[in-house]
Parts: sequence; structure tokens; C-alpha cells
Amino acid sequence: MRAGEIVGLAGLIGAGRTEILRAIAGADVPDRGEVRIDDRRLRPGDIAGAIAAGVAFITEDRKAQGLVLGMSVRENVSLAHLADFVDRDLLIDVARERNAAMRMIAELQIRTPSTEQLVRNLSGGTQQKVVLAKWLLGNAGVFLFDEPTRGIDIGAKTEIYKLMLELLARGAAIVIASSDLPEVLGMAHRVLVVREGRIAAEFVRDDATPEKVVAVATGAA
Amino acid sequence: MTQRDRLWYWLRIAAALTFLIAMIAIVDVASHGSFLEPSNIVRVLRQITYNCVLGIGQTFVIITSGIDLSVGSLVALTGVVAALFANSVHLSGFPLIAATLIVAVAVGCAAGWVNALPVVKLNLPPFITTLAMLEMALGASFILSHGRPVALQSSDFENTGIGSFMGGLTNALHLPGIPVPVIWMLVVIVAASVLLNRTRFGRYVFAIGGNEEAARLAGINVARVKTIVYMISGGCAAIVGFLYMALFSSGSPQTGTGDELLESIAAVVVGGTSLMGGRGSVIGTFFGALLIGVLYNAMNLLNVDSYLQKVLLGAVILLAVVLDELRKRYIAK
Repeated sequence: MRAGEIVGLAGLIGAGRTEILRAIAGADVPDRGEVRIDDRRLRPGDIAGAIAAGVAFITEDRKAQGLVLGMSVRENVSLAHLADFVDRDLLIDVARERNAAMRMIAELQIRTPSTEQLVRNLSGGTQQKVVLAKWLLGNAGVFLFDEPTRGIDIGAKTEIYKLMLELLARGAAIVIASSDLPEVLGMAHRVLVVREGRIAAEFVRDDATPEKVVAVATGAA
Repeated sequence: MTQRDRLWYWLRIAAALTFLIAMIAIVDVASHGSFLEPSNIVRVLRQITYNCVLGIGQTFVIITSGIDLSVGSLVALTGVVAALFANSVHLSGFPLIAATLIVAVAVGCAAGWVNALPVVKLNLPPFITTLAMLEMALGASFILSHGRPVALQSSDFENTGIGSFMGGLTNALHLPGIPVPVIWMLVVIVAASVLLNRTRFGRYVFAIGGNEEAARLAGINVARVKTIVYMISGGCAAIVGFLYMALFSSGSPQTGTGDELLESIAAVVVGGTSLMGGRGSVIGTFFGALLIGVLYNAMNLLNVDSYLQKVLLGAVILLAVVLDELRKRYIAK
């Protein structure tokens, strides 16, 4: 895929969309296949390596996988890029960390009273924005969204779509895996239909109709 | 922090301080002023040193939602190994002390590494792996010492064990000397606090305890952090083994194998570190150890029966965990 492109992964629940994203992000070791970013091959199962190469994996279950609920907004936002906030004497520069968190709060309009608020006390949509802030902080080039709008209100949904378009404008590449078919068809330039862990079909945006995608996804076509 | 969190935080501190001050006042009056004598305060600090240092190592492990049951046996093992080493090398003075300490800490860290290996590679519960280490280390310390205390041939450890820090100065001021082990404890407290609160490693310890999967997906090397955490606990046990060896002028396979393990865990829990992981502090563990130490000391001054002392200590630990649970429910509301 290219910079400025959104690829959608459609398919039934359990078809293997999440598994594909997890393999790209290094969270699981795939049986075969490889991931290349800018022609550099990523080591399978190396999450830190994938992050360093610019991969951001925004997981489906923000409470179980995306956030440390008992930590503050600041600590969650910096978690994946903490090395950037360590000064010469090996200590975390909390002032710099707080500034970065404040910048992300402003940029994403995160509704939190302060950087020190525990993430546990925020609403679902706001929590999702904290997850996004965590991954935006590192200037990643490839964003993997797994069910990006499940369980959040319509206002936050729109904001997340807007954010995706902004990321595209900045030259990012985006993969959206979603069981919300209108979401995939509405956002993606290309739609890959996943069935039983494999890409069963590929459609460009104008070709992708709900009927065709569902037919492939269920194995009827 | 929300206003409610902040309020609760200060309430907790106020409650703990009120309890401590009330206890001190009552005991001091009841013991006719002997409780607040400087010599008694120093005695309490010296008594809690060992428990506090063990508890600090344990704090790191418990924040990752693990547990280290092997610390008591590691005190015995490292004490015996340190004594055997000190008796077998031709060193004296500071080089002897430094080399012996390094050997003890190396043994403790190695045991911690072994503790962590099945935890991080096979995802086995640390309760079991450290229980196994408890037995192995205990057995090994008996084998190495032939079941008898290994008496130190050198007297160079005397100052480390029972000496006073800047004794000339405190004598001149007519104050009780500050025992050298207490200085060791203060150094461990400061170093561990900085490590836990200000470094990347410390942040990762909290993150893993709070949500291990989120920590892993943020690129944190969970296995490495956990391994280091058990090595820190083993290292702290080794420092205690070393200090006990210096105190008793011998390394005994029975040192540390009594109440030490459970009392160190009690200090951690009373100090506000959650056994569920993700929350805790080094300074809390110090105050936990202090509270337990003060309690024992007060009960001794008041001539409380030693069996009853155990019952009361147990009640205090229970109270601490009940309060922690109530706090969690309050937050969840």
C-alpha cells in the first residue's frame, strides 16, 4: 500500500482481520509472509521494531489492550515513546512529557480536566482519543485501526474519521479493519475481503458494493 | 487526579498520620516516656531495616502483580555464600567487604533470574516458581553450610553489622549513634524510589502491573522488565543476607527463614501497594515496615504477651487490605 491510501479489511467476524493487523504490528508471529515498510523487512513478532519503523496499531479493545486505566492521560500518551522523554541522566523529563500530553490534548480535543487525570475516569470516546494520542505522538507512518469506532458515540466517531483524513493529508497510510461495512466502504480507497484468514478478493472503492463484499465474505461468490 | 481522588488521597494520609501519632502518644504515655527516647527510636529503625529492604525488593515484584516467596531463603543462602566467600579469600578491610557484598548480590540476582525464567518464558505463576526457589535456596544453604552457621574469620564486618554512622559526632552531641544498617536502608530507599518513580524502567513496571497486554503492544519488553524485577528482589534479599551476616558475624542457613517473608509482604501491603498490581510505592513500604516495627516495639514496651502480638499484627494486616478494598470499590463507583 502507498502513503495517502486507506485500505479497508472487510469480512465476517472471526475471518482473520484482527490477526492480519496483529501480524503486521508484530503482536503475533505469522505462519508465513512478511511485512515490509519502505522496503525494510520487519522482524516477525517484534512490536518495538514495528513501532520504530512507524507502525501504529490501534487495537479494538481499548480497555484490555490500548490503555493502562490506572495511569494518567500523560503516562498513557507517552507509553509507547517513553525513550523520547528520557534526558541525559536517564530520568524521565516529566515537564517535557506533560507538554507533549498537553499538545495532544489540544490537537485531538481530548475532554480531560488535566494531563494527570486517570484514564479510568474518562468516557469511552475520550479514552479512544487517548489511545490515538499515544500513537500520534510518534509520527507513525502506517496506522492500523481495528474496529476504530466500536462502542463510541456518533460525535466522537465523526472526529475520528476527520482525524484519519488529516493523517492521510500528512502522508500516512491507513488500514481499517471493521465489521461495520458502511464504515469500510465509506472510508477505504481499496477494500480487501478477508475469509478464513486469507484475502479472498480485492475491490477498488467504486467497485465495492455491499452485495459483492458480503458475497465474497460469506463464500457465496 | 480528580478532586475526589485528591480528597481521598489526603484523607488517607491524614488517617494514617493520625493513627500513627495517636498510637505513639498512647504508647509513650503508657510506657512512661520510654517510647520516644532517642535510643528507642533508633532501635525501631534498626529493627525494621531488614524487613524494609526485603519489602522494597518485593514492592517491585508486587507492582507487576507478581510475588516473590523465595526472599527469606535467599537471605539464608546469600548469607552463607557471603560468609564462605569472605573466609576463603585473602582480602581485608574495604576490598573484602565490597567483594563479599558483590558476591552476595550476584547470587541473589542470579536466583531472581531463575525465578523469572519460567514466569516469562512459560507464563507460569510466580507463586509456584518462587515457592520452588524457596525450597531450593533453603536446601542449598544447608548443604553449603553443613547445617551449621558459618562463622566469619575476619572481624572487618563488625562496623557494617553493628557500628554507628559518624559515631564520633553523635557521641559528642550525646545522641544515640545511627546504626550503619539504617544508613544502608536509607540508601536503598532513595535508590529504589528514583528507579521506580523517575526512570523508564519504573514506569514500565507500573504499566505491566496495570495492563500487561497494553504494555506489550506499546513495545515494552515485558519479559525483560519482569526478569529485572525478580533480580531486584533477589538483590535486596542478598543485601539483607549480607547485613545479617555482618550483624551475627556468621552466615546461618536459618537466618531469614522465619517470619521475614510474610512480614516483608505485610510491609508492602500495609504500605498501600496493591497485590493486584499497578499501584504502589517504595516510601509506602518503608512506612508499612515502620508501622509494623512501631507496633511490635510498643507491644514489647507495654509487655504484651508475645503470642497476642502475633494476633494483633495479623489484625493490622487484615485491616490494611480491607481498607484497600474499600478504596477500590469507592473508585469503581
